[in-house]
This record gives sequence, structure tokens and C-alpha cells, in this order.
Amino acid sequence: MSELIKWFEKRRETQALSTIQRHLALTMGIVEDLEKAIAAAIKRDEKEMHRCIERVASSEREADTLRRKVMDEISKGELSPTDREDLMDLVKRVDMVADWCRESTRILGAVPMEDVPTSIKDVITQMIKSVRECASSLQKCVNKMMTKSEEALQAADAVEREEEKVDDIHERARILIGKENLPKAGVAVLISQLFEAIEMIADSCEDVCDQVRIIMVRK
Amino acid sequence: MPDVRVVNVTKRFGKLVAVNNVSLHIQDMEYFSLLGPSGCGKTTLLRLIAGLIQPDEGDIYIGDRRVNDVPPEDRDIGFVFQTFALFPHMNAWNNVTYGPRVKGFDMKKAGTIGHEVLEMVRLHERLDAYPSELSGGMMQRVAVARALAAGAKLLLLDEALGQLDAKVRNELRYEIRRMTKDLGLTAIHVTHDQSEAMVISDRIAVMRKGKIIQVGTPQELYISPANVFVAHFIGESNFFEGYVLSTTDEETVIELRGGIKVQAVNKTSRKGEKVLLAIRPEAFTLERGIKKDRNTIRGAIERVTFEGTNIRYEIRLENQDLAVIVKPSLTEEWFNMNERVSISFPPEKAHIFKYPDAGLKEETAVE
Repeated sequence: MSELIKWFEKRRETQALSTIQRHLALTMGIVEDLEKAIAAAIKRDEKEMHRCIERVASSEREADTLRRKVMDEISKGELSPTDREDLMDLVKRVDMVADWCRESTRILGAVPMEDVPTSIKDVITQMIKSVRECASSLQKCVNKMMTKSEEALQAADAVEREEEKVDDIHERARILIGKENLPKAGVAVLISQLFEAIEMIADSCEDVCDQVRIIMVRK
Repeated sequence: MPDVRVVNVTKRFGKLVAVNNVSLHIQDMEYFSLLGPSGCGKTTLLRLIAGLIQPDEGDIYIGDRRVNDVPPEDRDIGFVFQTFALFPHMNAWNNVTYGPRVKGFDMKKAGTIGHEVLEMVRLHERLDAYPSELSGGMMQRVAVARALAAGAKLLLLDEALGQLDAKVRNELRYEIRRMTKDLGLTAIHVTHDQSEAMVISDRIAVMRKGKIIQVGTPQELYISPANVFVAHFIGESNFFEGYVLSTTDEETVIELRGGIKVQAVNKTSRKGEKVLLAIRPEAFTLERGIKKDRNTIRGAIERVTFEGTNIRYEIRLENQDLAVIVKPSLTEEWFNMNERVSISFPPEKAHIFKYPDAGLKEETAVE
């Protein structure tokens, strides 16, 4: 068992650990709010969409603050340099999930949804749903890492499966953008960027899981 | 005995505002606590009332008298320190009668006062003992007796029980309260220990960053915390993040993370607003298996801790939030690790707070 996992088991109450969990929970909330923002945008409920985007923005700022806090707390602790680096990497990777959600909302706010065909809207909906599942499994993975390593690895596998689904959806989306007769080139560019950003959320989730694996196998 | 009024008092140390425009009215014969984390300004406020430091702004009244310019020795106060501050070369008797003697009372009068107060604190049989021969609890009682013998009408206690071990501290809480009530004194007690403040006080002022956050009886603070900080600092709360789906005069529907919908009694939340739901660990019902009733959330028990009087369960909910539930160990059935459970709560037991701008971690920080 890795030294870091032993540390987790012994130090469940430490500030750093509770801040990591809070950071992760906040990130999960950000993904959910992004999904709601997309749903509202598709329904052309601009007011609700802006409310959700505002929630994403404020939570992402809070996540940034927490990331810095975790870094401070880890550096004060008793961990070895390697373990510190592992933990800092984990937190930075989780933070990338939140960052890509924020980026997605920036693009979403610029997309004129009235010019987007239903077929593409449907694919966006499917994709964000898979991303949410991916993030949910990620949260399980990190939470279980601290208590049950077997279940953590199962959750990590689930993240990978969802990430692959997101890749497939993205591939279909690219084909669709090419096929659909979009009125303006700008709309096509924005939609393409939105798909890219959403895929990056899933990729970032996978990156976090890779880091969990590194932590778990390190002697 | 006097009441104490603190009116718009501010105290700065360089750039640090230790006490920031604080107003308070402490009633005659009231046992009042200033409670807050380290560095919140509670001891500074007590020292301002004692006259050990002067306010930069505002006024302090003891009874009808404005005491801003009155030296500490003329304020009729007794100050009990965390370190007791007894004279180590004097026995209990001489420590206690020191005040009356320096006030110029003759030996007979000083002796009468000394006997009276030592009897009150039940140390009459140890009057020859030196501080080094007394236990922590006894030293604290001598310190209180010394304050009373000096003619204090207002007792100021600065973390007065902080140096004692847990058992003695618990006993002395009741004893100090009893003594002040028997003598009809007004007492202001500074502590960072919320359980101490809850047991000993008629009312408590919760302080943070130099300000008073909420004033109320222990019950009011516990049952109706005014904000996230009080809900966190007084007792323990589970905080769940969500946003308001709909709201009426009676009820608010909140969607928690993971799409879980729950109801709470409405405060003044708006549709779409990001909120925190605060629920006390003992407010939950814990049941085996999967239930689908109102305000029910499923989860699995991740940790069980036996705490003596209570059992503490940490439950990983279906949306990955963590809920802490406390149940009496003797009267409730026990649950096991990994067991699948449902937790539920009545809407009126959930407090809705606007999500803090600074974030939850910052808002509940006690340092």
C-alpha cells in the first residue's frame, strides 16, 4: 500500500484532506451547473442559463481558492516530497475539470442557440450527460481512494468508460457539424469549440484517475 | 448589581481592527459569554470593559456610569484570568484578603470578608494552603474568591477554566454559575469553547473578526443560527449545497447535487439562488434499506465511531456528499459499516442560508 494511502487512512481529519474533498465536491457541483446551463440554453431560457453560468463562475473561483489552500496545507504537513507532489498533482488535475467547465460556459454564452440545429443540440445534451456521469464516478473514485482502494479502482474504470463514450459522441458531433447546413461559419466554430471544451472536461477527469492510480500503486 | 452597555466600540492595534463597532447590552445579574475562535476580539472586548485598554471609539457604561475614563481599580470589577494570577508567596487567606487590605479596611473587616467569600467558594478549610498546594480547580476558586472579596459587582472571566482538566472544568462550569447567581453578580465570561458557553451562559455573543455575529440564548443560537458561521461554530452542522427550484410562503424546494430534491421551511430565498442547507446531525432519521419518502436520501455507512453517549455515523450519500449523523448509543439500534441506509429529515429542521460569497470553507474557518 502506498505511503500516501496509509497517510489518508491515518489522517482522515486533517485540514488538507477535508479541503481536497470539498474541492472535489465543488467541482462536481460545477459540472452539474454546466449541464443545467446547457439545458437552459437549449430551451432558450436565457435567464436561467445566465444564473447557472454565474454559479459555475463563482464556484470555479471558490475552487481556485481551495486549490491554493490545499497547496498551503500540504506544504505544512509531514508528507515526503514525492507524496506532496502526488497530492498537489491530484488537486491541480481536479482543478482542470473545473477550469474546463468554466471555459465551456464562456463559449456557451456566446453561441446563438437559435442558429443551432436540433440534431446538434441533442448531441450536446448527450455529451454533457456522459461528462456528468464521468465526473460523478471521478468523485466516487477519489473519495474511495481514501477508504477502499478496490472500489476506487472500479470507479476509475467507470470514469474511463464514460470518457470513451464522450470521445465517441465527439466524433459523431464533428461529422454532424460537417453535414448540417449551419447559417454562419462563426456558429460552426463556436459549436466546435464547445464540443472541444466539453470533451476536455472528460479528459481531465481521466487525468485525475490516472493520478489516483499513480498514488495507489506507488510504494 | 450593574448592567453593562458597550456602545459602538472600536479598538485598533495598528492596522488590525480587533473590535469593530461593537454594541452590546449585558443585563444586571446576567451570565453573559463572549464566544468565538482565537483572534476574534473577545478578550480585547473584555479588557476594554475592564479598563485595561482604552477604546478608540465608542462608550462603555457600567450601571449608569460612563467608564471610559475610569481606571480599572475604580470600576468595581473582579477579573479572573486563565492563569489564575494568584500570589505564589501568599496562602489562600492572604490572597483573598489582599484586596480588602489594600483598600484600607481594618483587619477585622478584611477578615470577615475573607471568611465569607472563602465559605462561598467552599475553601474555608484550606485557607492556610499556598497556591502550589492547591489543585487547579481550587486555585480557580481562590481567584474567584479574591475577585469577590475586592468588592466586585461585575465578574470578568477570561478563559477562566481553560487551564483545568476536562473533569474539573465541567464541574466548575456549574459551580461558577451557581456562585454568581447566588451572589446576584453580573458576569462576562470569555471562552472559545462552545460547550462551556452553552452550559454556563444566560446569553452568548458569538464574535468573529472583531464583530458580533449573533447574540442569543444558547437555545436560540443552536436552534436558529443566524448564518453559516454560527451554524458551524455552535454545535455541528451538515452543509449541503444546492439551489432553489421553487419557493412559496411555506416551503422551499431545493435541488441538491446529484439532482436530489428536498424541502425546507422557507426563509427568504429566491428561485435559482445558490444556497446551503444546514442540518444538525441529530435531526436525521436513520433507517435500513432504501426508502422513497419525502426528504429522504440514500447512502452507505462509511464510518462508525462510538463516542460513549452517542454513536457517530458518517454516511456517503448517493450524490457523494458526506452526512454526519449522531444517535444516542443506549437507546438506538446500531448500524454497521457499509450498510445501505436511508436518511431523512423534517423540513423545519433544515436551515437555508444564502451560499457565502467567500465560499463555504472560508466562511466556516475558525482561524
